[in-house]
Amino acid sequence: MALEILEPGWLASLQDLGRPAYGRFGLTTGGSMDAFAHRAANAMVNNPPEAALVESGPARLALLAHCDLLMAACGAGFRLWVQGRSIPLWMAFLVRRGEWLLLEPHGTGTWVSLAVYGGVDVAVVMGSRTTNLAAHLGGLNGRALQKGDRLLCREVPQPLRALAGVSLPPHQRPAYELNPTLPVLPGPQSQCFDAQAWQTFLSGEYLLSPSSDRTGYRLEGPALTASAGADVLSEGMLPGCIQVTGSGQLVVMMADCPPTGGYNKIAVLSPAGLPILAQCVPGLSLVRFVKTSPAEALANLRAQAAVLDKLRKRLE
Amino acid sequence: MIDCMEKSSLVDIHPMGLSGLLVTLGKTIDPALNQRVHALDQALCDSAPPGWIENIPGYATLLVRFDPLLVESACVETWVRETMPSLPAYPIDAGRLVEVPVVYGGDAGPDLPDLARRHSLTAQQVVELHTAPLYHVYMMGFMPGFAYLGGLNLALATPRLEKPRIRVPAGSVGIAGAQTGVYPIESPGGWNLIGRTTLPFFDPSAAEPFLLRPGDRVRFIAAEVLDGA
Repeated sequence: MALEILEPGWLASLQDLGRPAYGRFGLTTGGSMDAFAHRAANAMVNNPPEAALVESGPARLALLAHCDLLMAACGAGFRLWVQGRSIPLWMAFLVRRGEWLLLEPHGTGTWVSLAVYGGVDVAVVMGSRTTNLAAHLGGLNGRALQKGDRLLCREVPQPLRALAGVSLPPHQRPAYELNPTLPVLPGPQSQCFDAQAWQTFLSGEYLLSPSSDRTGYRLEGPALTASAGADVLSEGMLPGCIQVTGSGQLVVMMADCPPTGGYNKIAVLSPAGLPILAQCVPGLSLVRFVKTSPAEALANLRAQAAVLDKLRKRLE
Repeated sequence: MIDCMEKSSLVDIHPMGLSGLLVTLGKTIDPALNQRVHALDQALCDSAPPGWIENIPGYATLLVRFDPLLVESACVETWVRETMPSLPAYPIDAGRLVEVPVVYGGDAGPDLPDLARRHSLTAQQVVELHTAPLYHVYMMGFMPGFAYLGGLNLALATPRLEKPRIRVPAGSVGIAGAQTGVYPIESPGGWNLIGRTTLPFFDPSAAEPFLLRPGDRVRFIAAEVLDGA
């Protein structure tokens, strides 16, 4: 009972919702880059949110099914073929034994979450199946997926085959776009930046740098200068924190954000905006920021959670 | 009493997005201040409400992480504020004492001879200076299991290597600037390597994967000083 990797995608790895509660020991939480797509894909195949799935960046990811599987691919920037049939993203589908499946880069976006009914069966390491690529921990031998890897999974039981076709319409997904304006909340060092720096930050247009990765998305644009120097004493941080480096450039911390850091954090992304930034395209996307309030940020997060709840309840 | 009030007036609580509160107790690297971070951490861990995820101690800060869909930020802040005044006096020696046996010099510590020469010391004197202090784990970060240790004798402070090594073995004991530390996993690195320990600082398969915790005290013990060092 397996899913065999024919073409390995880009930085494709097994991910769940991360390995929490070890931040105090210096260990990254990690988890899927687009947590919304992750949760939606799992919901569509009747998995709990924390089930492990394959997450890949923009390159051809091809797999061969060695048993009948119920699957769903959610995310942006890919199109999906199953044995030559075109299948939309954001929809549960069946793959029969011996059929191949291909996800290829197409359109705007960067990450795809490919879930399979039952979750990918791999050992739990320190409370999670997530791959921590930097620490070579979890997932499949702590590394990115390779051609020839066989992912253990479960054949879909007969009654659940009826879930094929369950989908999430576009208006219920995050508003993915190439050049988004992302809502931010003031960060812990927001006051180290004067009115002019804030003006620059909120009016500037930032190119997502090609040297971005799962740890941080680097932005190229107008530099910001802190009035009190670039460094703070090392302190805790979390995904969404927007750090201003010594040279005044911005780095938005992403899923594999280290638990501590020592740069000023001018702002923190509204959590509902994280999947939207995650799907931006390095080297192409131009990003802007706009101030929001905690109440609005929470309302947006609740709205995303409600969509996922509804999707899950519809299946029960 | 007055002391206590002065300290609490310095406390700053700032949200870090929707899912974090950063509690700042000061602005300096100071063992006593850092002990208050660990005291607050402990007290909060002992009384955590549903929705709390974890605390991450810094030098002078504590980041409290929570799920904003399960607990309101205002409730978390109230919880933190109510916990502060009841903090017990937290003695400087409250953490566990962890002894770390080190083989100094030779292949285990290839930079020991250069480091000794730079400071006009013998290798033996470097080892004596390095094993004398009781180091304090201010916080952890940088890589899993890496402890930011305070207490290095400044006579041993040494700039990083000009050319970092591509591979530093796990367990390597190094000095960089005014810091000393142990590489918990193999990684690239520019610290001056003076020795190596076989104690696992990070073992994902162990029931307790990390040797050290924030707030611990550490003493290095010279298991051996290799010839030629």
